[in-house]
Parts: sequence; C-alpha cells; structure tokens
Amino acid sequence: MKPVAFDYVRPATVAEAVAALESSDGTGKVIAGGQSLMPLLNMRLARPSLLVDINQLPLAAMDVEDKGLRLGAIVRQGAVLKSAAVARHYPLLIQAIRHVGHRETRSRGTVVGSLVHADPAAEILLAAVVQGARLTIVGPKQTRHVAIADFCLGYLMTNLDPDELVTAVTFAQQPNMPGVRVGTAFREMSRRHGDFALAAAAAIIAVDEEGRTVTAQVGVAGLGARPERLAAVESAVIGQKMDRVLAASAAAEGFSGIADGFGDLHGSFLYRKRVAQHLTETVLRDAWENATRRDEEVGHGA
Amino acid sequence: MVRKMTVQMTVHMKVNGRAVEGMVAPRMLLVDFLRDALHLTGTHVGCEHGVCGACTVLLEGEPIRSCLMLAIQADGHQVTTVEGLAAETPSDLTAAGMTPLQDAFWECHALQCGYCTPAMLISAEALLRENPDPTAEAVRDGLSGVICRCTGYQQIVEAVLLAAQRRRAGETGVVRP
Repeated sequence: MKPVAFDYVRPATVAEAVAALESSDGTGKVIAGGQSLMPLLNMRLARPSLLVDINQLPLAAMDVEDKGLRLGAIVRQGAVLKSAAVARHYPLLIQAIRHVGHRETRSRGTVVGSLVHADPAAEILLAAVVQGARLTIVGPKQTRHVAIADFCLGYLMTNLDPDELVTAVTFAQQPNMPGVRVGTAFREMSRRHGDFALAAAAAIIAVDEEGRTVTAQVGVAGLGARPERLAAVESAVIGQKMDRVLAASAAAEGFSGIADGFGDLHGSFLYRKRVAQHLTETVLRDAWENATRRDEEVGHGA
Repeated sequence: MVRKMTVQMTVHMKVNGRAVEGMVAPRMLLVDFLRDALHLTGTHVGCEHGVCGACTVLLEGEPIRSCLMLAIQADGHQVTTVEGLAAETPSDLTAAGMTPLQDAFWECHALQCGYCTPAMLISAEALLRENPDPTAEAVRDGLSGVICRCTGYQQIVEAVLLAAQRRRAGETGVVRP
C-alpha cells in the first residue's frame, strides 16, 4: 500500500518544526527515522495531513555526560550501538538495542523515536523505564522535561501534545557509589529473532565488595500497556547475594501480584506472565553475575 | 515553506554514482522512485512495512529499508542499489562483470526465484565491509533482516563465506570465464 497524500516540510530549526506542528492543528506528525511511522503510513493506519521531517535539525549529538547520557532526537540506534563510551557506561541500552529490529532498521531508526512511539513491548522503552530517563520536550510556549514513567501513558499513547517535539532523551547514570560494581542484563522472548518481544525483562544490579545486592532496578515489558518496574522483585533481592533460589523466589513474589494483563493471538496473558517471570529470574542472575565478575569492565551481559 | 500535497517537489540524489533529479509527490516511497522513475527494478517491493527486507538498499553505505523512506527524504543523499554494486569495485569483477559476492551466489546456487537476492547481496555487501572475516553465525545474524522463502539460507551463507574468503585472499577478478 502507499501512504495517503500529505504535505511535507523539512525545517532547519526546532522553532520552525514546532511552528509547523502548531499550524497543522493536531493533524501533523513528526518523521525522524520513520521505522515506526512509515509502516503506519504505508498501511494507511495513520493519515497525517502534514509530515514534519526533523532529520536536518541539529539534534544528532550523543553526549556521555556525568549526569547522564544525552541523545538528540535524530541519534540513530545504530550509532548508539557503535559507541564505546555508551557500551562502557550504559551497557543496558546497548543490550536492549541489539534486540531492536535489524541492522537495516537501526541505521535509520532513532532512540527518541522509539520512546515517542511507545510500543508496549519496545526494548528501548523498557531500558529507559529500568534505567531512568527524562525527555526534553519543546512546544510553542515552553520547554519541559518529563520523566519516562510520566511520559508513557499506555498503548502507543504518551504525554506529548500534537504541537510538541521531543528534542532529546537523557538516560540516568548507573549507580555510582564507591566500592560498588554494577552489572546489567536484558532478555526477551520473541517467536523469531528480530520480532517484537512477547515479553522482555531488564535489570541493573549494583553489588558491594561481598557481592551483596545494594540496589536493584528491574522491569518487564509485554504484560501491559507499557513497561513497568517491579518494585516487589527489587526489594526482595536487596542486601543478599544472588543465587538461583533467590532469583526464583524474588520473581515469584513479584509476579504473584500481577493478576491481569495483555494477551493476544501471539501469546495469552498467562503465557506472557510465565515467560516474563522466567526472563526476570534470568536477568536477575545475569546482571548480578556481570556485576561480580573478576574483570573490572562494566558488565556486558548477554 | 510547507509544500501543499498536490504539488510535486524536486529531489536531487546520487544513485549508483550518478546524479539524478526527479519530481516526486511527498508521499512517494524511495523504493518506488528507484523502480518507477529510475527504472532500477533490481530493488524489490515485498511487505511495504519494513520486515521482509526485499527493498534493502545502501544509503551512504548503510543498509536501509527503501520502503520506509520517502523519496524526498533521500534528497542530497547517495543511494546504492544492486545494479550499482559492480561499479563500486571495478577491479574485483569477473569476466561476466560480477562482484565476488554475486559470483559466489551463482557458484553456490544461493538463489532460486531471486526475489530476495538483490537485498541479500546488498546486506551481505554491508556485512563484509564491516566484518571481512565473519563466522557462519555472524553471516546469519548479518543477513537476518532479509527473508528468503526458497533456499533455506544454507547456500546463501556458504556464498557469503566463500566471497569473504576470496576477497580476503585477493582472489577476486577473473575467477571463472
């Protein structure tokens, strides 16, 4: 299929882009990498009257700063994968992006675009929820900063107004206390390599010199309208060394409270829940092992 | 500044090393521009939503889905299609004018209907430029973005490994008359 006709503009500044969105009265859409939007246009599931192409805006910077990893709106997923600095300081993001689509989609697809599209099973979105991230959003009247948990409202729905443009995402630093080492892990289950995930789990575990867990950030995607942190799982592992038994009991405890959620023809809710629980056990153990490995490099995980 | 949807826009790009100019509606896909306006029908249309890979071309050397890019977005860019692969390495061609990869596909019977073949060649080219000595696993991973319904992939993987080996050994050029 081919898209329904639309107007097209390729602004040179953020202000022009926002003005173009404002002028479209809610019927305009931003196009960056196009890897999520173009399928919708081609299948005519989306019919914007105007496309605002942001690929020539000065938003391609990737800054590994002390306060966090700042990615401009048109930073490609493939570019992040190639960054040694990101691999060293934000390994969870690398692990997540490896599961996103294929090389041919990562060469154009953007990190910010994935967050704005807000597919419930999006790997980058899960990584952002687990790591912590803030979006910089520019509108006609103001610039605001929104935490990812407040930005993502539900199935393909976000807090973004039609006349606003996300110009950057800033991922929070990993835990960085003295004497503490950090490991990360990301796992997903999909029917075929490269498919959308049926369920995915991610973890960032920080351990002390004795290998006891100091902080745990754990989340799953695929069970509901958006990825969620698992507070019950996190508190169940604090202060202890990880082993199979602890990982299993922490996951079981965390998932016992989840009674209802998303299911479809690819996987019923009960199946997704079972898979998600198993993946959670796995990432707990993997992240902990990556944190306690002998070599000094920050854990790479799977 | 906003072009009305009824108006066509001028696009300038380089395709297979040649500067081209076209008039396109904003909604025209790059794959349709290549096929219909430039008559470069080697690039194929499959799913039109980015999952089958048949439309894969190189954009500044990076493999992309040309069904997920608008022709107008390629303004100012350089595109390589399967028709342009040979021209990029003229010293490595066989007597029949094929690149080592194309020749290996022929030798290993790595195609049947041929629908995925241009995309496989493009993806394999991108893979070997980045990793000249891949394992079979790395080849499978590197080509995982293109679906083949005919071959079962085994001979495609063999062809890519064979071409990689020949390229590394400098055994390119006239391999066979």
